[in-house]
Amino acid sequence: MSIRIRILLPFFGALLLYGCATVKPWGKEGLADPIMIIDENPINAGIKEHFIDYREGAVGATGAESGGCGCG
Amino acid sequence: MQLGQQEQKAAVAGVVKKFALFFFLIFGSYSTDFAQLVPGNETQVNFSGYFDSFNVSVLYPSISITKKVSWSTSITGRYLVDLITAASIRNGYTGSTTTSNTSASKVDAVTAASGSSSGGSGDGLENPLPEFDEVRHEFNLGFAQSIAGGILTLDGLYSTESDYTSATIIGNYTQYFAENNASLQLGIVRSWDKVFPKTKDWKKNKNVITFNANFTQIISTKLIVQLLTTYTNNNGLLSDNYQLVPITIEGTDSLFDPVHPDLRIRRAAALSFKYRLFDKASVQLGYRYYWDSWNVKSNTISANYQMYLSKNLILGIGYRNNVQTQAFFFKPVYETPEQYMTSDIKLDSGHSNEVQLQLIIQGGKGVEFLPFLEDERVQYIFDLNFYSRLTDSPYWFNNKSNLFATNFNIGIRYRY
Repeated sequence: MSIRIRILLPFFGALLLYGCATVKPWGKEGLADPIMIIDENPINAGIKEHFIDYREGAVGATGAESGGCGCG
Repeated sequence: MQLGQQEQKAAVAGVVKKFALFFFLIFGSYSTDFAQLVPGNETQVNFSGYFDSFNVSVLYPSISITKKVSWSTSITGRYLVDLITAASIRNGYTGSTTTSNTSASKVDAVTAASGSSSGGSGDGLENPLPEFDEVRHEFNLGFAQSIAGGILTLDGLYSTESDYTSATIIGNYTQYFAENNASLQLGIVRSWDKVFPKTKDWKKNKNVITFNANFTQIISTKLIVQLLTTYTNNNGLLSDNYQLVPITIEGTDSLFDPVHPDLRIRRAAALSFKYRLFDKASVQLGYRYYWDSWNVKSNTISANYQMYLSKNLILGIGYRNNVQTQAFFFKPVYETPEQYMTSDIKLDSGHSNEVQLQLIIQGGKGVEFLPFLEDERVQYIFDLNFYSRLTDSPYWFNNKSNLFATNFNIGIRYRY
């Protein structure tokens, strides 16, 4: 699979998902629950990502920011 | 070399153009009446630590303060300190080094960024406790602004230590669609790093530019899907000059400086699902594929389960597995010096496993007997991670293939 297709594939998938039925505001109470929020605590996520960056050759696509330490 | 730099610039310019076109196509055709909420007032203090079987210990306390200055603007300041024992290697090279092609003495060449010849992690009865002799300071200042149905964030980050500085600018824009059921976040990160190892008499640059595109979609009242992509261009000095390459020439062991290509294009794409299993629990499943111009490829899977033990207690249990291939120039043993060579174990093939435990205690009725927790705006966070990594060849310095590490975090979060 070419690199361009690999990059674009998630976006095609996203556009398909965009066509899905939307949840009305009154149906979102459960989604506001801390256990349903992705990256509920970005600072905490960054702390976890920080030490993985030192130990592995792969980085990125985690949604967390880390770096500034020459670890990459 | 000049041709290589021109190609590099052309590649980055191409990505910038595509990124900008994508940005205007998506955001130029949408508008929404929903004003988005910027982060609210919050103070968070974390005390984290890392300890591994290679005798590296790191303590990194941090404090973060977010202040909402108007309904549409908030600012954030953050300070983090890394206290490190021997930023890399401390306990004595097990090879029979007799000479070195570097300007460093044996101790400096194989020990830490600190350049210190003592200290380090506890190594027995003589030094039972770790001595932290390398310090990194990281400062972060940023703001978030609500703009016409989206949120713009800008952050500046500066990190400094005795042999490394990094200045970073991070910009993100998140646009919400479809009655806030979908969001697209586009981000750019630009870093200017300077490397000046204590064992060398030079200073070199490393430049990094990263583009992120993340899409989040609410599928139903129980399911959220997220797609994340990253493209990174690294150029300049990309090797760790404390990771020397041992080569035996005519019976004599020598240590050579690592030589990495000065350009690395890194890409990653990930898909993540968050699903509410039943009223009191959720599960998040993720998969990431990573590939780069050094031929490192990686597959990462993760699973995280969260459940309420009571109204105030959330338990999280996670698992993560990563499998990667080696860089095209990585070799367990080099017979002679080569154009590119490395002993950096991150570039070897291997796999890792991580088990994550988390306990969140939310203040309020039921836990008011604990300090500060009579206030429901207060939250305690406890994290404990167990990590193991097995590489296909042993680490040059201690001849071990297996790394075991423990990572903890104790945090207190106050939202008001």
